[in-house]
Amino acid sequence: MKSWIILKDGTAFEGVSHNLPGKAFGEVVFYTGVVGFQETLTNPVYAGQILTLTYPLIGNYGVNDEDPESPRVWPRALIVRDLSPIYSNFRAQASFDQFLEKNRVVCIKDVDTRALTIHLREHGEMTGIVATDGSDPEKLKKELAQSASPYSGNLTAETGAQEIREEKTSGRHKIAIIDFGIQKSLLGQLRDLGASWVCYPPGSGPEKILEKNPAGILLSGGPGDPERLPDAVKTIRSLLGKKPIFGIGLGHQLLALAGGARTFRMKLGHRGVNYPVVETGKKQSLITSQHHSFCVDAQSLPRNLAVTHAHLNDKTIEGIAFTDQPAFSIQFFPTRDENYRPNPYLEKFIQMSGS
Amino acid sequence: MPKRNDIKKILIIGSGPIIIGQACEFDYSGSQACKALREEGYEIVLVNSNPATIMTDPRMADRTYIEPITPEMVKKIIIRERPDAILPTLGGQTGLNTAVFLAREGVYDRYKVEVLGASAEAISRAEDRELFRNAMQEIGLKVPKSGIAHSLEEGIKIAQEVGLPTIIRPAFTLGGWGGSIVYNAQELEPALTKGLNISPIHQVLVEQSVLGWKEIEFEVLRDSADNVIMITSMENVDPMGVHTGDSTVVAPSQTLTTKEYMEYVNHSKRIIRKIGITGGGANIQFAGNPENGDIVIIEVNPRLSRSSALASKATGFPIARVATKLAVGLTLDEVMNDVTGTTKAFFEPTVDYCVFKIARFTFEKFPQADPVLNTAMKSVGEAMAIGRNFKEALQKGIRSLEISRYGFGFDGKDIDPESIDQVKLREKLIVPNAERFFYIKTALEKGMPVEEISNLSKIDRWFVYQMKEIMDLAKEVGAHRGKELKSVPREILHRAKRDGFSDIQLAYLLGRKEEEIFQLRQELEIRPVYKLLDTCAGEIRAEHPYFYSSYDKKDENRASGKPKVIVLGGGPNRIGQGIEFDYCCVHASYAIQELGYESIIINSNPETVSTDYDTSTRLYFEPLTREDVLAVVAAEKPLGVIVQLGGQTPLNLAVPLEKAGVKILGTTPDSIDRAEDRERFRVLLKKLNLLQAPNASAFSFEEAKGIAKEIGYPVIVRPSYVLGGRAMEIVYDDKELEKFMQLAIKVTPEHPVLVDKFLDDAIEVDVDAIADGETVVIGGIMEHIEEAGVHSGDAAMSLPPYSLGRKIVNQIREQAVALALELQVKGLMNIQFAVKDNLIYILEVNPRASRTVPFISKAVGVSLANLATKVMCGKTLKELNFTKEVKINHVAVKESVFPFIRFAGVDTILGPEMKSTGEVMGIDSTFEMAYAKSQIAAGTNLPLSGNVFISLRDKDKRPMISVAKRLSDLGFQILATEGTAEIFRINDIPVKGVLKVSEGRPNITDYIKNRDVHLIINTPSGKTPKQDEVAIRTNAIAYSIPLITTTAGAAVAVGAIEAMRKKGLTVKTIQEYHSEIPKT
Repeated sequence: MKSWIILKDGTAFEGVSHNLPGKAFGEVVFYTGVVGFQETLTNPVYAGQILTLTYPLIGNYGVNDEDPESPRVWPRALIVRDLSPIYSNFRAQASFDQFLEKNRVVCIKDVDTRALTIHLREHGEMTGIVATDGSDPEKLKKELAQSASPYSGNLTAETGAQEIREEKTSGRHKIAIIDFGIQKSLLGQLRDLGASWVCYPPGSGPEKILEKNPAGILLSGGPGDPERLPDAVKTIRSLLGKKPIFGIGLGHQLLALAGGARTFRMKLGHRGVNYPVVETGKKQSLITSQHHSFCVDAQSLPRNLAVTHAHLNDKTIEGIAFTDQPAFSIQFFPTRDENYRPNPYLEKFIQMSGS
Repeated sequence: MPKRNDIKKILIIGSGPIIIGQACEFDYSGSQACKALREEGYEIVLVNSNPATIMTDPRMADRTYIEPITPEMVKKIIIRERPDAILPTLGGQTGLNTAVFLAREGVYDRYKVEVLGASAEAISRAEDRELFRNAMQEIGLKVPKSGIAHSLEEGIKIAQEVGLPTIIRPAFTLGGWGGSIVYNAQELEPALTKGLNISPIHQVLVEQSVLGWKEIEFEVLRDSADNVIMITSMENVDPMGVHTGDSTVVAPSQTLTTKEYMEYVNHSKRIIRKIGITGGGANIQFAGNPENGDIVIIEVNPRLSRSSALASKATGFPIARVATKLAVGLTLDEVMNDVTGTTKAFFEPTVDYCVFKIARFTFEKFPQADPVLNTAMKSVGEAMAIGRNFKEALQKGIRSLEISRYGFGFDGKDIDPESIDQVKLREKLIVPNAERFFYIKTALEKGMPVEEISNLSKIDRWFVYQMKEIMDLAKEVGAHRGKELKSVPREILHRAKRDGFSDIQLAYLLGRKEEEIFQLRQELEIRPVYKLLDTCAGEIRAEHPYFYSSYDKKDENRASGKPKVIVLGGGPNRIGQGIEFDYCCVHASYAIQELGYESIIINSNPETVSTDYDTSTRLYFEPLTREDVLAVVAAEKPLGVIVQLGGQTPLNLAVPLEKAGVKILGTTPDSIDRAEDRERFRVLLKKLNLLQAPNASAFSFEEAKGIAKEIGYPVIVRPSYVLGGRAMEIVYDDKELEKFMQLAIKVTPEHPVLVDKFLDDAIEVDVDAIADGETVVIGGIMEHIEEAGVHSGDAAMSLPPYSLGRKIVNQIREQAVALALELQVKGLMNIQFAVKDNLIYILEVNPRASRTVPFISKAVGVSLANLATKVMCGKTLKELNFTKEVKINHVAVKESVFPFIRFAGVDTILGPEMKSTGEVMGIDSTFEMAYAKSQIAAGTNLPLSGNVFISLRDKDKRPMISVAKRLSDLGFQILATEGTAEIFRINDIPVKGVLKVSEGRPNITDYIKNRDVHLIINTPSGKTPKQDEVAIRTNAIAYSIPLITTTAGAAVAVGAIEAMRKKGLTVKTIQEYHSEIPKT
């Protein structure tokens, strides 16, 4: 069925409904990787968003139970060009179709995804509606005008830990994680580093988090606008200096806010796996995986916050460290290195948290 | 880190002539490298024997040596130039091997030359099979179970351990040359012998076969700060067992999940670090088990390669340019990404389209060769197509191939499913071959399930399924056949266009004409839009992207209102259509820009300089068909289109484009037709009072027989409108004629066959000229060295003529001028003459750029293609200040290079059918030395002493007496079979008799195999060669012994040997030669 993506500025993009008739509202963003679709769809940082995949051929290798970053799909809708009806991979357990259906994802295909991408690039990310239920585009426009951005709410209430969860491993390093929407692959790395951890819901207070006397505190990534999480900022502020802290993604932004900096919404976020990041004072730079639309404002940094990492091209802040506290953070996702060793920043944090 | 300031002068080694496995991609890489280094202020010394390259243009380097790429010659250049550093990673395997040999000889140490990009150790770690295997094992990566053999015995032992089938891979060879797959014990010994023989270090790898696994490639770059980036993945559609140069390849990979993909990326990063490349790139080839994801490393190329060129064109990331900057110490974050213009080269390109590369074969040229694909590369070129999905890219790719196919079948040329039985079909699916896609289509048509086709072909079922979707859609379209055209639903047509169907296919499916479909599409507004190839999937606004068509919604075409000219490129390389034409197109683009216009290039060949992002104002990566070109014309609205520089491909489009209302610049299609149409041509020559060998056209065997009787045998027969002498033959009697007619008529039923009197023993002359309608200037007059009958693309030639008298040359000049004026040539023209008994015959007139244009341009120091383009754009030669032929004091000899070594058992005799893949130039102050250099550059190592084997047909015996005498006087031992030996004995030439193959043993082939022969002169006895001769010639090729097959060739070769003995080889730059040309 002919279906629509309507953007806040009134621009409409045509497509075809994939399977479910449905309607979804969210912030329209795009991801530029040529692989990683199942991982991206199950990454909690995409909560509240409508995800466009710039790579046009999706579903070729099917899905499996091993690769998801969380148990569910987070984007409110998916926009693609071509969906493969069949799949081919020795690890595949089901088709991408079945995966979308099981997760009840509203999906629109045959879209000129490049046209949409360029529109967002030129005009900035904005909210939009995807309707695969035959809704009238004019009505959708009206509906859109009345809806508030998902960023105006607290998305982490949904993506974060719902209750305190303790992971019993043989790990020596006890870590407290403020879980705004953690990814499975990060926990795997922590395990390899010999950590055990307790995940706390985003709203947990400092006393709660310190209750079990963790060796360090990890602020996980997550979706949305960090300035909408004043409680978390307050908690982090009071944790500063008490334990080593490491923030990732949203956690990085919250740490900056806790230190007195500000964040801003970028015109166009970073979503992909090819972002160049320069580390201050190092010859070697990093190619990183990023998924964010909010960013720490370089102008707002207090004196005790140093920029440790910056994007090579747009110079946005990619990492900070307190000069007077054992606390640092990175905007990008800490991936394993080429030898499958856990990420060095994660390792540094665990070392800082060593007894 | 900033660039190195301690080095100033850098030597770059090119890759030499175009051969299978080493084509234009190294000119593309080399040209980028020259530009990149000059930007940084380095002085560049370049050596490359291939005059048809852009990199050997005098302005690309400070000092350019068009000299043979051998360790000896490069050493001479090093001694003369004393460069601070050498960059060996740009010249393919040739450049790399030369560099390694020089390192081993201690030349770099002695002359204090630093190796940039990849050190000699790094090169060895990647190329030497043993070191490589150890290095991989040290970092815990798997390589196929294998062993290194230096002898036959060792090889057999390893094969027993590894098990059959096994792959034999010779060390330090190019394009899988000398490699083979061994299925049984009987095949093992010859395969090992061949491999050991071909490897320059007599080493082969005997390797566990991973036939049927996936072949995956990655391109990675590393800088001196240890930053490593991945450029792209490439997945071979064909499984392991087919050389990647012959495989169909898609980028990025389509069937790898993130986890596997990352595994490959991580392996690649570890490998480039382990190999030790500190400023440059590497291509890494893996095999992946589709059943369980096991990965083994097949090989690493520590240099720019065909794959790196493809990866560059597929992503927009100029790997050669960036790798070169890294080689001189810059780091990735200091180099700009020129395509975006605003971001740095330190990132990993991403794409939002599917790239499809497909190889172009020329098995039709070598009917005796086995058209089966294996680990040794056999294709001569490739086309790249870009689509928003695989189906679109696949169909565009096939129609880019210039094989008269317009997609995945449905073009009236399909295999009749009834004509092939299941057994045969299954064999065609199991054994890789050049036509496999069409057999897959046939199998689908016959109802074979996707799964079964995939199991038989080992082509991933995802790809086969895509082909099935094309089939299904074709059926859907076909269901509307016979109905009114307007009743075909727009939605179906649109979907078909989205999946890459050409108008020709749709016309075939609907039983209509191409024009009707085109018209219908205009009415329904189904037109292509142009998308950008921008390195970043649209995330960043790109300043210098290039374009491809798709049937999506938003058009990103950036056509400006400025005046512009379109140049049509030549499409994929094949025999008869190679780098020479790309050279002309590149020069045309520069010339157009010099005139202040925008230049637009359309081409589908990813290997070329013409498809580099900065060669034109805008580049369209599109098939060169009427439909695709018209769409670009509609988008760009150019002043006109240039068709005469890209060879036969664009020339064939001249008339259809003109009929569609497109302005063709330069010589009119009518003039072209006057020269190509035999009847009109005859009238033309008569009008000008010029001679032509007696000839006529025939539509049947009877007619041809009558003509042959009238003009007398031998005659040359050929279909009209040919390229590279395709299907052309000299026949000596009715029987041969009949055989030819059966074949030829099948090839082109719509065109007559031309029958020409063959001018036995005539001297052929090629002339290239440039004209503007009023003024005609001769570019160069070239005398062929072989007697008439050898295709001009295969012949060796001398500029200026070396034996013709001044009077004859002047007459030739006058005739050329008369023809150019009569045809109102605006641009370039090539004329082939034959001189016999002091009479001049016109063989052919081509009002277009010829293969020799770059050769002449390099020899005389004037870019003819540049001038011709300006003439086509309306300038006169007077305005361009080019009104006089350039007279040179030096001599340039062009020699051709042949692919015989790739096609086992194919006879090496030259004839009217072109067989060479490339060319070299020898340049020196005398003809003899220039010829000697041309031979060395072409890989023919003329011996200075030793044994010469001579075997002649009767008619050649007399003229060869003096040649044999000279050889004998030079101290050569003459060996000959009885008939020839007798003549020499009578003439007092010492000779040693040798047995023919049929006379017992040891015979001549034993001498060859024992390398007791250093030069072979063997002229063919007739059209159908004797078994003996073929054995001699094919063995000569297999054992790399210089082989001469004409008496004229023998005479000049002896002259060259004499000259080399008298005076050693010297080197001199092309800039020096040019500066010595007298100014007139």
